[in-house]
Amino acid sequence: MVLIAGAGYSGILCAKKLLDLGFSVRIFDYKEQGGELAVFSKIPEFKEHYESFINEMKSTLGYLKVEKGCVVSSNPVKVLTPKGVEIINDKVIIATGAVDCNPWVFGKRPPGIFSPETAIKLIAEGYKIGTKFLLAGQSEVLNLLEVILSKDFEVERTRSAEVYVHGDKRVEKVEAEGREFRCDTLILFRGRKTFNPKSLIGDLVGNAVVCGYDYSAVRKNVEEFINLKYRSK
Amino acid sequence: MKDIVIIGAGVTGGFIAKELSKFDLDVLVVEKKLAPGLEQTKSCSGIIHPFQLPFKLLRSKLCLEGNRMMDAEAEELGFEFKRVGLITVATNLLTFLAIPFIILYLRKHGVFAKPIRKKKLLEMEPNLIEKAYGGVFIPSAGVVNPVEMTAKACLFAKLNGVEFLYGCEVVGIERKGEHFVVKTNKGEFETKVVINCAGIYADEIAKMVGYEMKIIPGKGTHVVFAEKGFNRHLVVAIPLKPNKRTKGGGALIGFDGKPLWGPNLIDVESKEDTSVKKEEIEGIIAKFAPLFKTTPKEIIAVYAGLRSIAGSDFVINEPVKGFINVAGIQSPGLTAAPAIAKMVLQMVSKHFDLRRKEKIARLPKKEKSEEEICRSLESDEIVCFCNMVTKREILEIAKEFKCLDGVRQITWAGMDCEKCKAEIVKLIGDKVLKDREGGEIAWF
Repeated sequence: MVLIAGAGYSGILCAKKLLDLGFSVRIFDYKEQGGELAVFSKIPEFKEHYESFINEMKSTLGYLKVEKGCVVSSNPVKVLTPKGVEIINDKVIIATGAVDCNPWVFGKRPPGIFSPETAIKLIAEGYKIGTKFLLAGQSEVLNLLEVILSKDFEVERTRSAEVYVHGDKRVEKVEAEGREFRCDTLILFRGRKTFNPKSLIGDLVGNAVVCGYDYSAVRKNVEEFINLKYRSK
Repeated sequence: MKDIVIIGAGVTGGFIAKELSKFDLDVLVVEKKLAPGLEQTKSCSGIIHPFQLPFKLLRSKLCLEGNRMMDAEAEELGFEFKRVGLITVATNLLTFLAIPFIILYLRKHGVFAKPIRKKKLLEMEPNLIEKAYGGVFIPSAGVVNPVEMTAKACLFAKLNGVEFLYGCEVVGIERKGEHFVVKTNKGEFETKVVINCAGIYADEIAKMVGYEMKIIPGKGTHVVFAEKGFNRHLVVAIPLKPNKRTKGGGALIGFDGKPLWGPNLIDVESKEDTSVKKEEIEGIIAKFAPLFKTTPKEIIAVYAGLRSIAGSDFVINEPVKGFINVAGIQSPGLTAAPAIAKMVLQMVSKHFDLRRKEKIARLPKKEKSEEEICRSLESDEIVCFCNMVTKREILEIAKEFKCLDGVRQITWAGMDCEKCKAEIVKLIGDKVLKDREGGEIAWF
C-alpha cells in the first residue's frame, strides 16, 4: 500500500503510475481534487497553456478515488477523515505542491497587493482584482497574467521584487528599480516554496520539490521519482 | 441616555467594556474601524510582558498586575495565551557578571527569574550562538494574538449587553448640564460618563472636553519569519545600559510560534505613518541575528505599528468630572489591559451605584480537537490548512465583524501563506464587502 498526501497534478500522476505498476494506492486531499490545475482550467489562457497536464490529470481522475482527509503527521501517518482519525503504519508520498511566497513589501501595506497565486485564484472566480496593474518580479506566470490583464487593463512590469508601496485605502504608487509606477494593484512574485504546513516527513515529489509554475518540470520530477523508488523494485 | 460611552475598541477599550458588562450599566462602545483592535493593538508584538522598568511607574505596576491576571482572563474569554518565557542572554562577561544582581532586583519586585547556565541555555535555544555566557529565564512572559484577545473581550461584553458600533467615528463632545453628548458620524449619544480609549487619537478626543495633552506616535517595526520553532522563547540580549524609552524589542515569537523580531522605536510625525523602511528591517535583523548561529528562514511579513506615547507613563485620569482618559497607553499596554480595566472600574464606581449582574454569560468554548476537525471535514470545510480554520469559523466571525482584515486577524486564517487567501476573500468578500466603497474590486 502506498499513501499519497495531496490530490493535485503530482499526487494524481504518482497514483496513476503506481497503479500501473501494480501497487495499491490511497490518495488523500483536505480539499477538492485537482489542486491548482483545477483553478487554472477556469481561465481560458491558463487552460490553453496547461492543457496537456490538465487533460492528463482528468483522464486519471476517471478511475481514481480521492479520499477526503488531512494528513497531519507522518511516522506513523495520521489522517483526519470525516469518519475519524486514522493511523496508518506506512510511508507517505508528499505531493502537497507549492505555494507562492508572501508578497510582503516595504512602505505601506494597503489593500491591492497580491501574489500571482492569489490573483489567479480570484480571476478564476470571476473577480476583478484591479484596474491599473504593476507586475513585479520574474516568472513565466507573470507573463501569462500580463497577457490576460492587458486585454482590459493597463499593465506595467518591473523585474525587481523589492518594492516600496504608497497608499492608504488602496495601492496608489509603487517604487521599484528607481522608477515610480502609478497603479492600484500590485502583483508581486517572490518565488514559490513547498506547501507543507504540517512538516510531514517522507518522499517529497512533484511541485513540492520543483516549486514553480512549470509543469513539465513537475512531470519530469514525478517520473524520475517513480523510476527511482518504485519501478526498480 | 447611556451610562457610559467608551471611545475606541482597542485592547483597553475592549477590556474595560468586558469588565463593565458584568454590572447593571448601559454601555456603548464606538469604534472607528470595522472590527476591534485594528489600529494600535493589531500591530503590537503580542507579548505579555513579565515586567516594565522602572518599577515605580504606573505602567510598570499595571504590567505586573495584568501579567498575573492573564491566565484567568484567557480562561474567562477563551483566547490563546502561552507563557513561553523570556530568556535574556549574557553575550559578554560584563552582563554575565550582572546576572545575580538582575535576578535579585527582579525578585525584589515580585518577578520570578532564575539563572541559566550556558549548557541549559543552548538546550532551550539550540540556535543560539555558542559564545553566549549564560542567561536569565523569566517564565512569566507570554504571547497572545492581540486582536483575538481584544475581539473576545468585545464579544464577551456584547454577549452581556454592551452595545458596539463599528465604523463609528467621534467628531465632537459637548457638555450638556452634568452630562456629555458624544457626536459621531452615526448619530449623537448622550451619556453620563465618557471613557477615552482612542489610542493614538486620544489627545484629539481629550481636546474635545478642553484637556490638553500630546500624543507622540512612536513607530515600531517588526519582521515575521516563516520558520516556526527557530527560537522557542522570547530572546533578548542583556543590555549594557537600559534604554529609558524602550525595552529594545527582541527575537520574539508570535503566539503561533513564528519568529517575530522587533520592534524598534522611531518617532514619526504622522499618526498615519506605518510605513516600513528597508533600513529598519535590516537594522532589526542586524540587531538580533548576532544572537543566533543562523537567521530564520524566509521573511513572510514586515509591519509597523504606532505606540501612543504621552511622556514616560500611561495617562489614566479624570480631568473633567465624568470624562476618564485612558490615554498614552504605550507598551506594555496589552499586558496591562486587564489591570487597567480594573482600575477604570474603580474610577467608574464613583459615578454609579455598581450592582453586579446576577448572571454573566460566557462565550462558547472552542477547543479544536482532532475529532472536531474530523467532524468539520464531514459537514464543514477546512479553509486554512496551516492554522486549521474552517469555513464555519470564518463565517461566524464575519457575521460579527464586517471586515476582511478583522476576520483574518481574529481567526488567523491565511496568516501564514498564500494558499487560502483567495478563498477567504471569496467567503467573506461575497457576503461582506460588496456594499463597501470599492467593494467591486477584490480587496486584499
